[in-house]
Amino acid sequence: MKNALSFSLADFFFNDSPDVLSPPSDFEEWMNDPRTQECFGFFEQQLLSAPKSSTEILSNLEGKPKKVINLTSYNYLGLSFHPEVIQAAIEGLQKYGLGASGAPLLSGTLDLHAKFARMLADFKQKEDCILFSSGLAGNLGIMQGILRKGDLLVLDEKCHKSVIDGGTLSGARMQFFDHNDTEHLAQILDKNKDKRILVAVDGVYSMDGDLPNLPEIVKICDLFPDVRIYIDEAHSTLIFGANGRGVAEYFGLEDKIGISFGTLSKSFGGVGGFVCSNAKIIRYLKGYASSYSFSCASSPPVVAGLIKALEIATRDSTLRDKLWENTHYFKKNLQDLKLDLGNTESQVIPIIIGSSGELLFEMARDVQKKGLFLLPIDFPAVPATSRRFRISVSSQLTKDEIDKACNIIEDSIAKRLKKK
Amino acid sequence: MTKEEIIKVIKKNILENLEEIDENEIDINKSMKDYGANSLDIIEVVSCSMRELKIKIPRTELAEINTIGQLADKFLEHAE
Repeated sequence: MKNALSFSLADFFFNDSPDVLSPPSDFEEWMNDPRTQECFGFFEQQLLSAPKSSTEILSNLEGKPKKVINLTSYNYLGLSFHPEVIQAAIEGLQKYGLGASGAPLLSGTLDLHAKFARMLADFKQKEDCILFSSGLAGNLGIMQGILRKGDLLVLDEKCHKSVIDGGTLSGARMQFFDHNDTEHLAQILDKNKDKRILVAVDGVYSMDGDLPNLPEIVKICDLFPDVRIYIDEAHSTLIFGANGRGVAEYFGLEDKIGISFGTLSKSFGGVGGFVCSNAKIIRYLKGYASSYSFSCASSPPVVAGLIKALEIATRDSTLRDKLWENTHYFKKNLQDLKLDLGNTESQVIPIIIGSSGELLFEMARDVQKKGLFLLPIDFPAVPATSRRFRISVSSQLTKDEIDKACNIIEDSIAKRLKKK
Repeated sequence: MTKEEIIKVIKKNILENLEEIDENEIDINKSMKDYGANSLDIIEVVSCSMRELKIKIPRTELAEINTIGQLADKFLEHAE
């Protein structure tokens, strides 16, 4: 292929192949191009140990195990391997076994699920909570469960793919407003006064680490009595707010949020999704969210571990405080290197490189060879003009690990950018 | 292939993918967003038009395009 590096996954979605089990012919050609293969070599590299701040990967670049400082796993509080969490999961496994062996509405709901859902509802200060076995399933379930054809889902353009997919599944019309552009949001709401509307924002935008302008968004939505706000606190739960309830708590606007979503795979260290809202809509969702009612309930040892994770993260603020200390220290060091960190205000820190895919992957190879697990984020996951690296800071990082990481970033990224 | 022929194909796909729009309303100096298209609609219109015109342009090359007319110009560069 002549210009393989100009193409991306965005270019092969439509498939003209007469056989549905054959990808497009040019997709094969593109994937088999050595330049494409080199880029894809960064994906699905196996971790050979727990996703700790220092871990080991099977490096595709070198074809052998490699010890690395891990800046990619979103194990923000290190709870996935916390000894108390592991012990709770072992006890859950011994008592209940591996699987729930049923859909939640039938035999899948264990006392563990009911206890954890109650704990999450109380934590988020909402009336009730529904659990999903993955974060993506949660967002699909919410949107498909409450929106119908003729409704309007108004989303920030940087909302997560799972919200968009849920919107597509629901049959509702979707309208995106420019990122954090409240004037644009107001125009859309004003034009659609006759529709049932849900406005969706993220607590922390996952590729940029910035926050929604929630005070302004709430002010605008308040002008329309029937407009409701949904917030995806996947990257902000247990991190933002005095009690770790998320960005809505941070802004003091929890009572303005109609429906609050979170994942259990990031700061919680497990897997799953949850939705908190008023008791009536949660009961309704249980009947209409297919990813809830037609899916096996979450694995019992995972739920047992998650109950402990929530206890640990909320009994005091030790882990959260450490995460913020690390985030501030890391960010300060990166700012000293004059790197473009966008508008991050969180533990998700992008290092924006620009439009050159070649440069991004050249830096990515060098970074990994020097012992840093920091993956490139390429178009179409981010705009073609702002390809980047994305750091997920963890409370588990030591000062020494951050210093070493910054030295590698300086050598492999900052110096190359200066040469440009 | 002429620019007019390309514009005809793009307009046809806009009409097929967007609701409540009349062909005479479409001004090629405007963006599809001005007619209520979201980013998924735009991907659909662009992909269907490219398929019909038998051209393939990397999305990265389309990132800077703002209007329907600019899209037609870009297609024309790649048309046989």
